[in-house]
This record gives sequence, C-alpha cells and structure tokens, in this order.
Amino acid sequence: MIREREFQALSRRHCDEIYRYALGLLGNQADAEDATQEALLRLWNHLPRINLFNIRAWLLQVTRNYCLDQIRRRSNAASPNKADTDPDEILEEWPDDMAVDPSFAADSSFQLEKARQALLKLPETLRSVFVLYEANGLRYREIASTLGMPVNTVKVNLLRARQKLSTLIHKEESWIKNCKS
Amino acid sequence: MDKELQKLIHQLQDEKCPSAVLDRVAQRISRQRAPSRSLRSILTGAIPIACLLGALVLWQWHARREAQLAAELAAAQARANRALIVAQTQEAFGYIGQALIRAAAHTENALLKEAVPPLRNSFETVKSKVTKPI
Repeated sequence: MIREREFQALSRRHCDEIYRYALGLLGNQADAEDATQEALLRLWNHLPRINLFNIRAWLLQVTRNYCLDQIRRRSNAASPNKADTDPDEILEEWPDDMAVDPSFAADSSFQLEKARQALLKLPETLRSVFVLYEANGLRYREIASTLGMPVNTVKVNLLRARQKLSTLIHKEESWIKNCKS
Repeated sequence: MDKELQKLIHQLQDEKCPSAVLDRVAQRISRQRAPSRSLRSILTGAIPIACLLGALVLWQWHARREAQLAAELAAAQARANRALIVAQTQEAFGYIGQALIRAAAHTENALLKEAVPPLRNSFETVKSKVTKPI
C-alpha cells in the first residue's frame, strides 16, 4: 500500500516532465506516451531500491535511455546497415520530410513545425540539454547530474543548441523564400 | 531567440502527460501484479502442506528406523540367548561326562577291592581243598 501511494504521488509529480522530455527527444506524441509509460513502469519496478532524493534525475535518465533505444531501432529499421551507429550521428541524418508547399509556409503551424523539425535535427546531447533547460526548467546542475556531464559542458551545449537551431530555422526560411521566388 | 523557437518552447512547456498514460501504466502494473498475487496465494497454501508432508515423511522415517533398531536388538538378544544355551549345554555335558568317568573309576575300584579278593579267597580255598590228598 505504501509503495502504491508513493508511486502514485511520484508518477503524478513527474509524468509531465517525463512526457515533455520524451516528446522533445522523439518528436511525436505516441512515442512520447510509450516512453512515459516505460519510465513509470521502471519506476514501479525499481521503487524499493531507488534513492528518492535523486528521483527526478533517475527518471529523466531512464526516459533518455528508452528514447535512445527507440531512435536506434528506428534508424536500424530504416537502414539496417547502420547498426551500432552513434545516436548523435543518426539524429543529424534524420530525414528532412517537411512540407514544402510555399503557400503553407506563411501558416503559423507550419512555422512551429519547422522549429520542431529543426529541434529533431539536433544531435541528441544538444537536444536533451535544450529540452531539459527550456521545456522542463531544470537548472544547469540538475541537467549535469541527469546527463552525467560537467556543468560547463551543459552551458556550452545549450549555447550550441540555440545557435544550431537558429541556423537550421534560417536555412529553412531562406530555402522557402527561394522556392517562392 | 527566434519567434518559432520561442513558440516551440512555449508549446513544449504547455505539454501535459495525457491521463490515459497513467491509466495504462496502472493497468500494466495490475497485470504485472496478478501473477505474483496468484503465486503468493499458491505459496501460502503450499508451504503448510509441504511442512505437513515433510513432518509426515520425517515421522515415518523415524518410525521405520525405530522398528529396524528394535529388530536388530531382538536379533542380538536371540543370538546371545542361543550362545548362553550352548554354553550351558556344554557345561552340562561336561559334568555328565565327568560323572561317568568318576563312576567308571569307582566301579573299577569297587570291583578290584570288594569283588576280586573274596573271589580270590574262595578260589584259593577250593584249590586247596581239591589239591589236598584224600
């Protein structure tokens, strides 16, 4: 009974964070829901052995591992020869399947989709840092403990993620303008 | 920061985990727990039965061992009794044999001392009477 109550409280407290992180990493809701489910199930299974003081970082690490597995599987299914490839490399090479109709380009939902696609093109580490900082509101130190990297690296990665996103978005814009002209 | 990026960040910040996810997790947990519950109930039933069976087996083994020991003891006692009887019989036969030897010696002695001298005397008397000239 205690375990159930504890689990319910923890899952309610952290499910949104897990979901947001998974959504940021995987880019679609169904996969993010699956990732959240898996993370919460692992929480249930490991609850007696988890250090509750570090539960947030633990949950985000579990979510990240699951998401990386999913990304690897997708990549292997798409191109079987690329097994054992670094997830960062895989993400860099994700298909650019944006809608290219210029009439759709002015639409705000299209702009948002463009930004989302740009986010999905980021290497996994940069994307994790960006999502954890911007969407989940974690501090540098919390991100550092979650991703297992120094605080300064987190800061550098966040800066790089922002720069890269900006570059990707502007690149798309200039490409759309060319299409229009 | 770009407008699109800010919009994306706001959208991500507004994202909430659908309640269906928590329901699905609860279902999966209950499904996970169902076999363990039945296993627990089986174990709670099986452990006393196993204890009883174990006690029964132990008791039977003890009883069999006791019976075996009793049989061995009885056999040993019977062997001892037989040995005692043999020893007593040997002693009795020895006593009888000795008595017979003694009796034979006594008879010989009696014959030589009590029967032979009068016979010899009477023989001597008869001999002197016969040999005396008439």
